[in-house]
Amino acid sequence: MAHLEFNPHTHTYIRHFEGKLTSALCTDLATAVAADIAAALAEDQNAKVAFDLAQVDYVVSAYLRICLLSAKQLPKGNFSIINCRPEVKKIFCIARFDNLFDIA
Amino acid sequence: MTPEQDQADAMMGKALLAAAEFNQFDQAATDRIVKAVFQAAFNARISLATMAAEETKLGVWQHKVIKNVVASLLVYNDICDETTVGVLAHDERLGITEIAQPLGPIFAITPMTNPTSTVIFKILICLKSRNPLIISPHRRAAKCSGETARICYEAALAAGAPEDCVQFLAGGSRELTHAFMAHPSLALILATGGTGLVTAAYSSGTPAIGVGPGNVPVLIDPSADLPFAVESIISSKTFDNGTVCASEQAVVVERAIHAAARAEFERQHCYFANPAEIKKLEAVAIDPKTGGMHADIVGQSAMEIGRRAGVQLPPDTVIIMLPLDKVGPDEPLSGEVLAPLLAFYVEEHYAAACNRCISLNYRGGVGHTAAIYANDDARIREFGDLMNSGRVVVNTPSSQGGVGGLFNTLRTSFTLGCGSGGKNSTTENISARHLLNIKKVCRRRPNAEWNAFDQSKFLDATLDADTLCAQYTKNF
Repeated sequence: MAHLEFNPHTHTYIRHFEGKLTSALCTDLATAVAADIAAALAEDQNAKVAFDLAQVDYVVSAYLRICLLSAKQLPKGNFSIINCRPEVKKIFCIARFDNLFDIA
Repeated sequence: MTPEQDQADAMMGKALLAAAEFNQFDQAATDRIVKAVFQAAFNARISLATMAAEETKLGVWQHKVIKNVVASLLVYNDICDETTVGVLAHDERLGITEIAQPLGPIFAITPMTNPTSTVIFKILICLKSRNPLIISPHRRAAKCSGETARICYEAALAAGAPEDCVQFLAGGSRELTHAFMAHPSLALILATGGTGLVTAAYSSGTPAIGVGPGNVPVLIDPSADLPFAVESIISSKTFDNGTVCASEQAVVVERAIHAAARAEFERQHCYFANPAEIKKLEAVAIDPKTGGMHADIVGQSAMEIGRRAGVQLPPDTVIIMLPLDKVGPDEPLSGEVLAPLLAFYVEEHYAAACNRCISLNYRGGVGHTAAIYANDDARIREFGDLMNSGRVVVNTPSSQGGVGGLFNTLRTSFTLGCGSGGKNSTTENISARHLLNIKKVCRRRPNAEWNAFDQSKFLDATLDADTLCAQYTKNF
């Protein structure tokens, strides 16, 4: 749970990312994120998780895959992307993820 | 969901992720990838050519090397300095800025006749435009096409390309191909292949650029340099045993020069078949079920075709000439045959020769390519106006001339747009630029005539066009 912060106002676990999310970073990230979400679900089986991308300006396809897997790991509608920069939001839309979860 | 739809979904999902990542690449990163792919393909030009010749059992491996060189080196030289990322153009006076946007995942259908070169070409133009692609090869060229895709993909990855930017579909069924072509996430089909496949691409509901058959007429005008023209035609029609869709299919000459033309062809090792031999050749070259060329004859040498037909040829024969006097279904050999069989028509005068070329052009080759040998500018212009073809090549071997970059300044391409006649949206040689959505940012530049005009006058029914237009442009 070290990476997820719980926001009591929105009842959402938030994970912050920053910089360029490259393939090299994503190799370890995938396992860590899945473990974080599993831990959150252990505490609350209806846990909501949001990735805060305010400090992110580049994402590789491997990171998009992490988002996809995270959304699948959680109950439907409980995963979201928040604080996206427009240039990054566009990337999620090109991948057609706007149909899968909220991207704000 | 069918298994085919599941497979298409899985691969399209990967392609979408690649498209998303690719969208963030700048020009320099894109160009590094394209250069790496060009170099890898160029370095493998010989092994891929021999593999293609062995697998497909058609064509000439040395010529396939040349095709691979054209598809890698010449295509690269054509696109390497082109801007395909970000702002493409800005015109301050017009107030318009053009910005490139990749299309998205592209389904690339590749043929048996030019398998490795077409794969190289399509990968280069797709990556240059930052579009991921899924390659669907002809089933009889799956191995060499797959190896080409692997080499290019590995080079692209090593240069920093997104994972899955090149995917390869081996052994796909018709249902699977359709599942891809109709997939809602697919941006474009780049179809090079037979009529059925190209028609299926157009019917899928996805935008498509398809290249179907040609039926290239070549007019040898009396003003032409005859030995030069014949040598050029032979070099084109024998190139890879005639597998290029822009290769000459029929020579048309006026009676005044026909004897000299025939003698020149014979001097350069072309054999003129007699009517009985033409019937034998038709039996092996034409599929009676379709009335079109038989697949087994494609890319075979003149000697091999003669052997199969039971026609005795001089041992050094390079092309079998077919003197014909009709064009149409009653004369099947007047249509496209991708092999060194070349129809030969003799007409009484120039107008009749042009009419014959028009008939050939409209017999299955509308929009593709036509050729003329002449040293008479007026006739060249007139011929260009008469033909319904995306390319009219002049004093040029049409196989190599249509592809561009070798004998003219057409863009080097293995996908030749055939205009509305070929059910295409363009007559151009397809390149990276055609794989971009070009957005226009339009700054305010008010129309002075419109703004100065009293627009209430448009509501006056008594004012006609002449009156209104005179007032509309007054003082401008």
